[in-house]
Formats: sequence, C-alpha cells, structure tokens
Amino acid sequence: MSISQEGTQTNSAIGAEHIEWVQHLTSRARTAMNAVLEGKDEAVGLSLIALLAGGHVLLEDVPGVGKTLLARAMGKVVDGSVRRIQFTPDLLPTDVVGVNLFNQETRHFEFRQGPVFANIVIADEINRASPKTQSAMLECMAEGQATIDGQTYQMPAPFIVVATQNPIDMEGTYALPEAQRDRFMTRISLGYPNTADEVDLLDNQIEHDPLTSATPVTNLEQITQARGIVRHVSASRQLREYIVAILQASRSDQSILLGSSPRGGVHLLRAAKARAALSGRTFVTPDDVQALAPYILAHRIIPRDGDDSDLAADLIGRVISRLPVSTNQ
Amino acid sequence: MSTPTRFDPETSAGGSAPADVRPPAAAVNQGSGWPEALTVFVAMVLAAVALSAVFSDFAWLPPVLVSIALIVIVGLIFRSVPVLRASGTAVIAQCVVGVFAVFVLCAPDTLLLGIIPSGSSFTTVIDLLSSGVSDLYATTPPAASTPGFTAMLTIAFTLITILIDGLVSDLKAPKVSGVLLLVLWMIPVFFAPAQVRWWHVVAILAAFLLLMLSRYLPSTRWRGGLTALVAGALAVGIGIGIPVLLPPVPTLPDRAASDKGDLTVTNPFLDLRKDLGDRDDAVLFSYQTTDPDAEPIRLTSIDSFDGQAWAPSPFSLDPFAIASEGMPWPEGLPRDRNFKEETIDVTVGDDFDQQYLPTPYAPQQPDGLDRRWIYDEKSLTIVGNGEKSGGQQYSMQYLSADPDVDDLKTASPVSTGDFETELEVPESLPDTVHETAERVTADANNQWEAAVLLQAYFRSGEFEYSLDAPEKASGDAISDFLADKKGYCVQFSSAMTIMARTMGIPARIGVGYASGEESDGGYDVSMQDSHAWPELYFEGVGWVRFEPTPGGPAGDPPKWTVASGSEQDDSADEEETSDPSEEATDGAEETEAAESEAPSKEESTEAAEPAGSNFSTFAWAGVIVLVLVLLALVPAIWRMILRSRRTKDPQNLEAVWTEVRALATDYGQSIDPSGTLRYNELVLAGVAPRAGTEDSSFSSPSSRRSSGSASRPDSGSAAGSNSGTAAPKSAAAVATGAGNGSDGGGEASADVAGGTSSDGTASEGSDRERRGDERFNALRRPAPAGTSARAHDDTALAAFIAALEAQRYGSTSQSIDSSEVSALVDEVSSDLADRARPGTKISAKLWPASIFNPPR
Repeated sequence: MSISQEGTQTNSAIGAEHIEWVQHLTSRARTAMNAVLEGKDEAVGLSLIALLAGGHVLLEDVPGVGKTLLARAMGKVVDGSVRRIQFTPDLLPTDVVGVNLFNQETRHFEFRQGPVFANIVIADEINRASPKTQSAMLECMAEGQATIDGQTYQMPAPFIVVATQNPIDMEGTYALPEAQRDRFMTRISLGYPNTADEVDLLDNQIEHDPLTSATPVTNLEQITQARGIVRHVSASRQLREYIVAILQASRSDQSILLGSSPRGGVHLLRAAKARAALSGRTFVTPDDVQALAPYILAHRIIPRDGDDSDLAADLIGRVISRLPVSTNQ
Repeated sequence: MSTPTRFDPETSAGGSAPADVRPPAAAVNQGSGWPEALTVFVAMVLAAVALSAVFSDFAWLPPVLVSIALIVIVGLIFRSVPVLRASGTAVIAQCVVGVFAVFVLCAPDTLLLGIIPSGSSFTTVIDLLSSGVSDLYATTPPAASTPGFTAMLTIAFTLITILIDGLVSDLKAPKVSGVLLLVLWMIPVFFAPAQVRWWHVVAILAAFLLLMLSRYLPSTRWRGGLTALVAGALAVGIGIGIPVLLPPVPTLPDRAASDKGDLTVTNPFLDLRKDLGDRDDAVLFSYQTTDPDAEPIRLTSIDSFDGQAWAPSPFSLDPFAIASEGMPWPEGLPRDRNFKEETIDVTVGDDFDQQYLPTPYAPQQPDGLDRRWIYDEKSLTIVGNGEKSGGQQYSMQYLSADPDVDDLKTASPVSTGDFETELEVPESLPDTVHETAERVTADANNQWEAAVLLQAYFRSGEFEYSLDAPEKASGDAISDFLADKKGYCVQFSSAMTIMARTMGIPARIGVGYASGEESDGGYDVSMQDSHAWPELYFEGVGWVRFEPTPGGPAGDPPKWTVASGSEQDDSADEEETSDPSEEATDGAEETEAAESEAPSKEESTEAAEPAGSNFSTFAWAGVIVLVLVLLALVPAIWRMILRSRRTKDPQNLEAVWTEVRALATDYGQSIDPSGTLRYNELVLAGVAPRAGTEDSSFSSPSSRRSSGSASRPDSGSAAGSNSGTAAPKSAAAVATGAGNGSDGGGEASADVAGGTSSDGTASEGSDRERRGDERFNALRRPAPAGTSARAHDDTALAAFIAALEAQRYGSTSQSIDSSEVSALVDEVSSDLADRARPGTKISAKLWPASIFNPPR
C-alpha cells in the first residue's frame, strides 16, 4: 500500500462528515473491544489505528496478558475471519501460506490455503519460528499476497497481522531481525492490568468467555471504506518535512546506532492520518506525529546502549524534543 | 515488567509534574540571595585588588569597599525580604543608595545634615570627576590616590556592582557580568601595564571564575548564613592578604616609575640671541593689565650657572601642582605689603607654541587654563604638562612687586643655606669680577644699595648695548664683558646676577619679554622683545627685578632700583576687601570651566551639563531625570509599536502568533520550539508542565519520557505491589473523576482512572489544573478517545490556536477579526501576568525581554 502523495489535492474529497463517520465507527469498535479487554484502552486504540492505517501490529509482552484476546476481539468486532498460527521451531512455510495438493479425483493440483489467508492473522510467538518460516510470513505481510508454485494468491482485505513476541523467553528463539521488525507499523506492550481491573478480570473470565460479550459492530466493507477515508486525510508539505526531519535526526543522533528507515516515515504518516481522523480532523498536525512517533519508530531504531524498547522510546522522545516544530516559512 | 511506563510514557508526567516541579521552583526563589550577593561582593573586592596595580597607596580602597558592600547589602535585602522582593525594585533601591553613597563618600562636606545632597554636592562630585580625568593625564602609574581618582573609582565600582549584582542575582546571567569585570580590568592593563603583578591577574581571574561558577555553587550548602559569612570573610582575607603578604617582585627597569617630571623643558635663555636678532615683528601674544606700569612678561627664571651656561635648575614637575587651583605665595614676600594686586588678560597667538606660559611675576590665580598647566613652586613658572601655549587665552591675578624702599634698606642678609643655587658662583670665575663688584659697591651701606649701585654701574654709560657681543656666557665671558663693556641683555643680566651673588645677594635671571608695544590700551609682544633681567632676593621683600640693560627692548629701570626713587605708594591695604569675593567667583568659574572640558567616562549625563549655564543644578537634575525616564520608556514604547505592527492584520495569523510568543517571552515563560501549537496553548494557559522552571534545557516531552525511563528499572517488580497498595486511592480517584495519568500502573486511560500517585494533586489541585492535565494527557495519547479529547476551553486562545492550526496544516485560509485578536492578546497577557511574579510583571512592561530576544 502506498501513501497518497496528493493529500492536499484530494482534500475536498473528504469532508467533516466522512471523518465523523470514521470517528463514530472507531469509537463503537473501541467500546466493544474495551468490553472484552479491561483497562487496555491505549493498546486497543493503537491497534485500531493500525487497522485503519493498514499496518501490522507487533505485540511484545509476557504471556497471559491478553495479546491473543486483543487480536480475537478485533476480529470479532469487525466481523472478519480470524486465524491463529502458533509458531514453533518446526513450523514450515507451507504450514503458513498453504500448499498445493494433488487431488486424486480431479487429477489436478489444488491449492489449499494456509492459515495466513484471513482478515486478522494472529502470529503467536513469531520469534519461535525458524527464519525461513518467518520470512514467508513477512512476505505475505509486506505484499498482501502469497506466491506458491508461480501462482499468486491475494490476501483478503482488510488484512492485518497481529504478531506476538515474548521478550522474556529467549532460549530457542529467533528474535525478529531489524529488517523484519520494520514491517510492523507499531509495537505495543499490553502490560499488566492495574489492581482493580485485574480483580474484575478474575471475576469475568471465570464466569464466561469474554469474547462472547463482543459483538460485531461493523463489517469488513466499512473498514475498507474507513481506510480509504483515512488515506485521504491531508498532510501538508510542512508536516511531511517535519516527519523527515525526525527520521533524519534519528539517523544522526549520537546515541542511536541505527536510525529509522524511510518506511518508518511512511508508517508514521499513515498512523498520524488515522489519529487525525480519530481526533476529528481532516488534516494531520504535529501533535499526531509527536504522540505517535515513540510507538511507530521505537522498534525500528537500535540504541547504542543495548536493544531495549524503553530506551528506544526515550530516544525517540528526546529526538523530538530537540527538533523545532517547523513554523511557517 | 515495565509495561505501564514504557507503554505510556506521557501519563506519568501528567500526574507528577505539577506536584514535583512547582514547589522546588518556589523554594529556589525564596532561598536565593545569600550566595549570589556574597559572590558579587567577593568578586568586586577581588576586582578592586586587581585594580590596586594602578595606585601606589590604598587610600582609594575604603570608599570603594564601603560602596560595594552597601550596594550588595541593599540588593540582598531587597531580594530576600518577601515584601521588598515582591516590589521588584532592588535595582532602583541600589541606584538610590549608590548615589547617596557616592555623595557621602566623596563630598561629605556638602551634604545638608550630613545626608541630604545639596546643589553643591553635584558640583563637587562633578568637579572631583573632572579633576580625576585631569589627574589621569597628569599621572604616571603607580599614582597616588587623589580625591579625583577616588571619586571616579567609587562611582565606577558602584555602577558596576549594581550592574553585576543585577545580572547575577536577577537575570542569572553571570557570563555577561564577566564582561563588566573586564572593563575594570582594562584600567590597569591600559594605564599601568608595567605595574601589574601576577597576583593582580590572579585576583581578577578569581573574580571572573567566581562569577562564572556562581550558578553552580551548591546553593543548599551556602544557605547556612554562618558558613557563608566565614567563607566570604576567608575569601576577602585571602584577596586582600595575599598582595600584602607577598614579597615584592623586582621588575624590569623598563620604566622609571619615580621620574615624575617626564617633561623636557627647553632652556629659553639659549635662544635669546637668536630671538633678539629676529627681524620678524609678528605679535607673539598680547595682553592687557590693570597695572599702569607695564612690567616684563616672564616665561621662567634661570638660576643654575655651572660656569659655562645658564640653565633652569632641574625642578621636579609635580603634576598635581595645578596652576588653575591657585599658586603659592611668592617666596619671601610679606603678606601685607610690598605688592600690588593686579590682573592681566593674555591672548597668545597660535604661532607662539612652547611649554612656558607667559605671565608677569608673581602669578597667583590663573583663569581659563587647563588643569594640565602646572607650576614650579620656587620660580612660579607655569609649564604645560602636555599643553602648549599656542592659542591660549587666560586671565590671571598676579602680585606686582612694589617694594618699600625702607624694607629693602633694612633687609638683612639671607642665610646662605636657603639659597645655595641662587648664591652659587662657579669656581672658575675670575677674581676680577668680584673685585669689580666690590669696587663699584664700595659706598653701599646695605645690600639694596649695593644692588642699586651695581645697576647704576651698568647703566652709567660706560656700557654699550650691542647685539654683536659674544654669545657665550661662561665665567670668562663675564670678565671679558666687564672689560669690553659691550653686550646685550644676556651679558648684562648674567654679569649683574653673578656679581650680586659674589656679594651674598641671592640672584637669578628672569627670562621672558619686555613689556612690548602699547596698542589699544594693551600691549603687543613680539620676538624682538625677548629679554632677560636679574632678579635679586631681599629678606622681607622677596624677589625683586632689576634692569641693568641700558638699551634694546628693556625699558626704564624699576623705580625701587634707583637710589632716589624712594617715594612710596601705599596701595597695600586695598586687596583685603576685594580678596574674598574675587576668590569666590574664581572658584565658581574654575569649576565650570573644568566641567566643560573634562567629560567623565561613565556619567555622560552629568558631564553633559554645559559650563556657564544659568540653570541651577536642580533644574539640570530635573532635565536629566526626565531624559532618563524617557530613555527608560523606550523599550516599552518600542514593544507597543511591535505589538501593533504584529496585530494590525487579523488575517495574518502567524504574525499574531508571534506576538503571543513575544508576550510569553516578556513574562519569562519560554515557548518550547519543539512543542506543538496545542502544547503551547496549554503552556500559555498555564496547565502544561512548564518548561523553564527547573531544567529549561530539556523540553518537557523528553523530561517526561526520561522520568518514565527513570522509573523503569523497578517498575517490573514493583508494579504489582504498587498497584496493590494504591488500590483504595485509585478508587477515590475514580470517584472524583480525575483522569490523571499514573506512574504506578494501568494504562491511564481517560475513562478508567489510574491516578494512583496523583491522589494528592487531584484533590488539592484546582479544577482548572485538573482539566488542563486531562487535556494535556489527551494531547499526548497515541490514540485519543474520540470527541472527548476535543473538549477545548472556550477561550480566545483556543479559538485562535484552532484557526492557526487549520491554516498551517489544513491548508484552509482562516481569519479572525481584530476584536478577537485584541481579546486574545488581553487574555494571554492577563493569564501570564496572573502567574508571573510581581518583579516579572514590572519588567514585562518596562523592559520586555522579547525586544532583545525576539521570537523567530
């Protein structure tokens, strides 16, 4: 998916009513998901931004805090298909994308879709899979399509991968390399719930499956429409320059070993557009960029003092704090 | 696990920033004063020590130290007593105290009741300053500390202490104040480079370093008053003690420090022959005198005869023997008789440019002379110390000799010890000279008669006036002259002088000009009037002129040198009545003349007082105050012009925004360039964590994030227990609806309150603050929760920011009307003023910082 270069020109294409519709849609989805995940509003919001911006989500957290639940809840409220792939070291690429099988009856090879062909794919513990399998998965994420034996198969739309990664259990894992992390729009940590939420959680989850409380509040078609609207949220040249300035500053910063890729900027702008829409604006402001940059860029940089996600977010914040928001020249 | 803080770094600041940042800021403001004041005092004392290189004594130091101490103490009081600090008038108080200190220290006699400055106080101080400037020219370092120097230094140190104290204590800008120290250091560097020793350099460097480091002083430790006193006393002790205790370091003899009279005074006697033969009758100078009997005009007198040549005896020229301050009473002249008091007005032509000032004998009180004209006490010669006579115009009171013949007759021989030079006769002098003198004066009953007979001898007709005589004036020449009986004034005067000396009469030669040609009631003197004559000393009469030369420019002999001329004028009693008034007017004129020609360095306004004006000092003071007030208003007026320029076009939102930022600068509220419009809106509304309270170097987003990271290491293990203990409070926070961020746990969403650590601030903070925090959190959240985050205050600022944002980023041209602009400016400035300290309020109006540091 490429970013709309003529954002200002297509400004007239969307109006306040479109944005309001997107806001309404999102807030319904958000309420529904919040009903499933208690006290995870921030993560829910971010994953909805990723959904609207057409990006993939990397959930990096300890087991049992609701990573899978988040993904499933999202699938439920958008009324899309949800597939879950548990990555293990012996998982093969064909187990992910699918395989051509010989049909005895028709005497033809038939393509049998893998679990990746779904609207929402939960790639559980993606760092446990072998690099070969990881790359097959990541190709699907980047291209939105899979190629098996020369035949190309399109992914359903919308297509969003929610990968989880366990940062604690490092033995026998293949941590996602920098190049592959770059394909995720955002990295989210869910974190432990606070006490009150956790007490409620104990009550609720024992009595019934929380997912049952989630009902579809929208459908795939609406999501696709909303994506189209978000894509046309305008970003002035000045704002794009500001994003580029942030990227370049991240590359020249002394305490950052590897700065953000240009794709980081693309993702940042797309996410900022989604956030602008969520805020009811038809244009992106530096507020969107500043608020989102730590979540969009942190997993793309390598700090000089060790690969630490907190440190990376700090460094991005510091870069932003040193950079003047461009004024009207 | 670090999830809460890492995931949501902003929320931790939302709760903690208002609670943590503001109280320390207040504490710093209250506690300040001691360290800065002490630093400034010690630094100024060290600077004074460094300045001592210029002076040979320390008499100037006490007034300087007293005024420094006064200024610093006043500043300290006005900055530490809460009521006074609120008034923000520390600098004004320091200025007032400084003015009084200068008056009390420099002109204590002029003060009414010992404290109220009168008009003459101003005059005196200005007079002192101008004399200081003249002393500057007249002095070779190391100088004695004259009252003029002391006044200059007191004023300079007072001013600079006020400035440095203001810079260090108020503006926290010690680096700038270092430049002011440099100004002081320039004085020894320029005026006395050879006198500067290493400890002077050490002193000024220490002062400099002290000011530089004043920001980093561990102010908490300094707060103990006793510690501060001890440390300060120690520093002062070291500063003063080291120069005293150190052994003197020998210096290269590159400059003869003790050789005060660095003047090269020519010997006018040697030029006489050439001058007399000069055909040029151009007027050298002209004069008018109240004396009906015109006397010769003297340049100097010459008393040293080594047997070969006459020369002025080397006298040490004292630069402080300033002629315009009045000259000493002539040697040997009684105070009550034997003189007439006369006045002469002299106009010297531009071509007559030499070091001696033509005056009649004996000059008393010149008027219209620069202070660099100095005199020799003995001969009453006036010499220019760097000044030349060309173009001078002056009048002078002088004492014209009018000796009583009876006094001359009864004059007893002088004791030879007092007049060694004037009685010295070269050993090579042939005996014939003395014998001739004895023969001529054989009939004399006393010294006066002997002198009269000597003069009569030369004027008897035996001698012929001729310019052809040999020029040399050696001992042999005198005997030759006595034999040849041909010569001109050089021969006549030197012969008579030597002969008088052989008879025990102190004698010297006056060199100058005969009275010249009469014209227009005055006299014109040309080169051809060059003349020399003997001056003889009689006890009880003083130096008396004789006239042995029978021709040439010399006129008739003075009446007291003729044996018959013994009639006597009794004009000696008149001057008593006229004396005081004359002296008084003299003094006034002198000071005014001095004012006009001696602009003081730092007090240009005072020096601007023109001489001879009829305005009273108070009127002038009023004018100066008015000018100062107008000057002080210039920044405020300029600021108003800038404001109207920026806000005159409501369509130009960026210009209006510039004005808003300028307002923030005026009130010391820094607008972070890395902040967004919405963020700055909250800053201006006073709800965002304020940058610039504690660490202004880092903007708030980063400090918030770093605070998040600081809590990271323990959050993994502590998060659970933290949440546990905070559970009831959290519930309370939910009940009050406080949507503050948390640093303890949870996602800190707006609808599910996680304010575990913000319970205190949430309850005691104002409603406005809480709303601000909510809005701030909404601003920083990656995924704002729909329309609830859009709830803006219904303020002009919010409307304006929305318009500006839409224009900047939405590419839609927005405009507001001018009433909204004025409402915006009023709202922002009143908001800022509400939060500002009183001092800041005043400075925002009178001395707006945005003029000097304009927003880009």
